[in-house]
Amino acid sequence: MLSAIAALGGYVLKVLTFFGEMSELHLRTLVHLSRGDVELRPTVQQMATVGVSSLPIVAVTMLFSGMVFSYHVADQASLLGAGAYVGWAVAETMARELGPALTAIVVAARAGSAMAAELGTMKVTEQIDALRTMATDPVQYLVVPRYLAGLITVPMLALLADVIGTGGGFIMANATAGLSIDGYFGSIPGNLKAWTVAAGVIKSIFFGIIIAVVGCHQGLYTEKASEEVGRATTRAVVYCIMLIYAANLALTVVLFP
Amino acid sequence: MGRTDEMVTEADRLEDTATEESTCMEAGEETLRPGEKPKPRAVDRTGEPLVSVRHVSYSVDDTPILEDISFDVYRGEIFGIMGMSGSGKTTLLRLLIGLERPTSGHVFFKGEDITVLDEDGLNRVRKAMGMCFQYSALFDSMTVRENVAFALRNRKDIPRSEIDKRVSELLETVEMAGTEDRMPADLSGGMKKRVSIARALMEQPELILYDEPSSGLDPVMACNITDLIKKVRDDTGSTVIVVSHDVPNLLGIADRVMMLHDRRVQVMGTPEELRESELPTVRRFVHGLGTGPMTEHCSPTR
Repeated sequence: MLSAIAALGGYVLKVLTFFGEMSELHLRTLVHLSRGDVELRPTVQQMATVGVSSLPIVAVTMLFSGMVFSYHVADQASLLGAGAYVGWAVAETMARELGPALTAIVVAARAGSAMAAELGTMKVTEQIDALRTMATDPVQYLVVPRYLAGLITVPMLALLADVIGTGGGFIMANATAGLSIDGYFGSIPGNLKAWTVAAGVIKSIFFGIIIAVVGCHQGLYTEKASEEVGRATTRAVVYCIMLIYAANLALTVVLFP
Repeated sequence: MGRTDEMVTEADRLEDTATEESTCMEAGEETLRPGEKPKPRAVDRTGEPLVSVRHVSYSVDDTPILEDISFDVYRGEIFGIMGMSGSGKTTLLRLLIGLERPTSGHVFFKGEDITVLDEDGLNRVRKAMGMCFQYSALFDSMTVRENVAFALRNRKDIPRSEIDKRVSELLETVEMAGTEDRMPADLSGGMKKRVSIARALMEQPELILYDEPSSGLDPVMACNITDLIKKVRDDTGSTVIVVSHDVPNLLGIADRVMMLHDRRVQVMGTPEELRESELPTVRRFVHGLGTGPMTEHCSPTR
């Protein structure tokens, strides 16, 4: 019994330590940002890595997700005589949920893991220590550019994902239910509210922050052993996905009361 | 011939050139000639020491790594630290540059206690220090030029051309001219060490710390790097602290050497004093005897 309590206590302590370290890292990042300690070159590099490089996989994911969703909606809507609202239904769902959430998951798997692997390798090979000996704060040089990249590019990717997903929906609606361009897209302007799209973007900003902070945290806190880099990479993706879904729930409740 | 083959060949050529030019005079002559006294070096030990370590102890999870370490290092001196694996040599080096904080005791640099400084304060002090890591720790996503110029990357007061010129000069000093656009992955171990020395010299530091500069290198290349450390000291007048297992080379270039054993300072003196020491542990280590009173021990950190 005592050992079970001790194990539970140990687990709670680990969770609290994780959130404590994450909060400290986030705070230090914000302090650097407030001071304007931003290096342009690594920031642009990270925006290319996180944003541009993730674009193809985000596009493919959203295209097929939009097609599958539209396939189901077009079928049901036709039965109910609401075929004219298929386009709006797909666009609304993309903007509210699928665009931000699926984009964040894909970026977490691609860029969050890369952040953990890169920083973890730097930790193991003493490159982080080398930065410190050259009077460079690793948070300022490594975390701030990744934080900004997540903050800026994930919402942009999510907006693109909304468009691609809705477009994919049209391909399927046209193929299965015979909806025309006007019939599909015509229902969107009058029904899809600007706030819905903006709320999706706001969600994506938080998801981008989660991806950057978790990925960097797992990398910077990697133990000094090669196999730990692999573990840190896996943990980064798992923690990102869990936190993204938890945050999605909280943000949905707040943004769509 | 593929690109990789060309790189390896070029790497070999550069190392061969460096090897041919190396004499390893200090290590070889001072160590090997019987009866010859080491040449006296002009190190002023009457003034304030550049580095002063006072009663430093360091523990990890209640396991002591270092206990009550005290010593001074003076300007222009080459100070060697040796000891068995796990004796805390690298930890001591990390304490000197503020990468770790001692559990108790103080480290003074130019009279300032660095153990009480926050990270910003440490960064200010570190501008006067350079460190070469055991495995070089070059930034693998950057070219040799970018690695060497890293410390000056945000200096608006120095023109880009001036930084490039300084990079070229430093690479020439460490016999790595022409490698500016190479990536670290294309370099051999010895070449990486040389680039890391150039990088450490970029801000013209007063103190340079070397962690196992000859580890992982063949004896000739190890000798070469040791020569280079002395040459750099002679050219720049900087103070040097070297942690090394390479006893003959270390005794060949150091003005004074300290030996760590059982977490404490076992002995400290000139290379000649260490060679003539009657202490069994020192004799065994310095003369490379296979058996003796030393027992291997492992610490939880490096």
